Amino acid sequence: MAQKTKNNLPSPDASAEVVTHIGSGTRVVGRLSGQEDIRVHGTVEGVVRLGAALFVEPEGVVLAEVWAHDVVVSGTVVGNIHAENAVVLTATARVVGDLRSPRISLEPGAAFRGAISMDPPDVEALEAEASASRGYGASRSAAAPTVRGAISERQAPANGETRRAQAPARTQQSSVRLPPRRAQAFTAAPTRAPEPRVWAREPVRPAQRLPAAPVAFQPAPFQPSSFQPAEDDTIIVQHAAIRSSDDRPRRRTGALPSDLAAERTSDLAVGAGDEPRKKLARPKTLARGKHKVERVD
Amino acid sequence: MASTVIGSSIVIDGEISGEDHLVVHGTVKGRINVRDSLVVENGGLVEATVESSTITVNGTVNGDISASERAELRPNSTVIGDIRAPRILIADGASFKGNVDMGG
Amino acid sequence: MAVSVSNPSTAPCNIGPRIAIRGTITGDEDLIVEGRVEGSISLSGHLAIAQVAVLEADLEVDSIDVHGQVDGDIVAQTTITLHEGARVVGNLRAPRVVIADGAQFKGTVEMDVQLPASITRQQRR
Repeated sequence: MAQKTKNNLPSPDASAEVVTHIGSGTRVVGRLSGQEDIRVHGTVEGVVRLGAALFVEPEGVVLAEVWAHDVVVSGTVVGNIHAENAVVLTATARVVGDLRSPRISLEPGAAFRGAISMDPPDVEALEAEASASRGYGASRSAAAPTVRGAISERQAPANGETRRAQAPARTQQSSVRLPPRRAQAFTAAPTRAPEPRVWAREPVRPAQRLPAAPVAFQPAPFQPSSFQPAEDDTIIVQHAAIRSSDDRPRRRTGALPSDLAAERTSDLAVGAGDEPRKKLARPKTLARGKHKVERVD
Repeated sequence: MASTVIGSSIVIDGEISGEDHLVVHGTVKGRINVRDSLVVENGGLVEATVESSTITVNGTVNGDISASERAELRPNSTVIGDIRAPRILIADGASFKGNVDMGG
Repeated sequence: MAVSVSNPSTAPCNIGPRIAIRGTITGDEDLIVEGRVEGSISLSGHLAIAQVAVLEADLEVDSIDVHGQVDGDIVAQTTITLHEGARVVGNLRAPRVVIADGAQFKGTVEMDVQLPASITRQQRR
């Protein structure tokens, strides 16, 4: 394209196949929002709020807080990234900041420093951020579609659901597998800990249940709060059998022994603890002491 | 020379600067300063002071326009603001309100 | 007690799915964990965490492939890879970290990030 051609620029009419892209010699400082994909080859500073995908190309630089539906980074990003669907850092990505999205993947070669949390983006923060600015077209995407999108995302693949459900089910209070009566009694009990591990895709709001989740999923004990950071004492499993016989404060896995005892009979190929946990006698511990290797007979 | 295209659903509130050709189908508020050329397409809305060498308006501009080479207001364009450029073309059908300064 | 291996054998050391260990594991060879480990692992070799494994331990290894559950910090000399199905809570520190789509992770990641010079002037984190 010659230098000063008078408006011989391609795609004269709007819409159609206009692909928004920020050229490599362009710098945008401020707030960038919209509902279509953006490819950044240049520099963007400030805030990005997109209802679609943001692609940061290898030569692109984004120094901004990014809220988008999908974010694919092949360039440089300094700032937190919140995505409703997925964040992908490719091999040439250089990211410093926190990532928050239900799906996050770092490809080999990506450089990243920051925190990762696989939760749907914080709705309150999004709304606050939207109202903080004079959201133009972006305001309509503020709360509702964000949450909806996050929810639908969670409910999407059935097999993924089962996999996720099984994993937390295993680590969840073993009562999940017990007959309901006992389960209820048990789950009411837990003294310590907070919840069993709540994985990212678990609903942020209690109302949302994973539809394909196996029956065993007990909604009651489930706290919708997003994941408690592993600060400490996430008691994964506590079984009545253990608590009764071993009062030593257990840091985490309470169910170690009974877990294994139960697993004895179950197939371990998939997530352990699928079978109903019977109340089994505790396996003999070979040696008491700081370091204990428990053998399951 | 690369180009930058702002799609129709995009809203930029801030400053755009650089050396690329800039085509605006969406909304830009603030400032635009691109070295080469700026085209505001039909449907595009620019509420900003605009500086470029060649500026072509098919859409709406509320703000001052400064072109170092030429400014062109096409039919159906709407410009409210001052225009400063050595060469100006205001086509039939364009609406314009503001001052014009062609002085060098 | 610490379990220390000085004689690498051909078959990799394997902690089976029905074994639970509480304590410190150190070694100079590759290790595969399929059971439960609570404590810490310090290995100058490759650590593989199977899908069914549950670890509540801080890991310090040469390289690691996680397919299971880890609750603890992971420090690697070369690469940390979280595969699909991995469930990790903790901090990762390594020159290379790979998180596959489908892996669950919560925590911080610390890699060496080389930012372009133009940026480092403006912002330093």
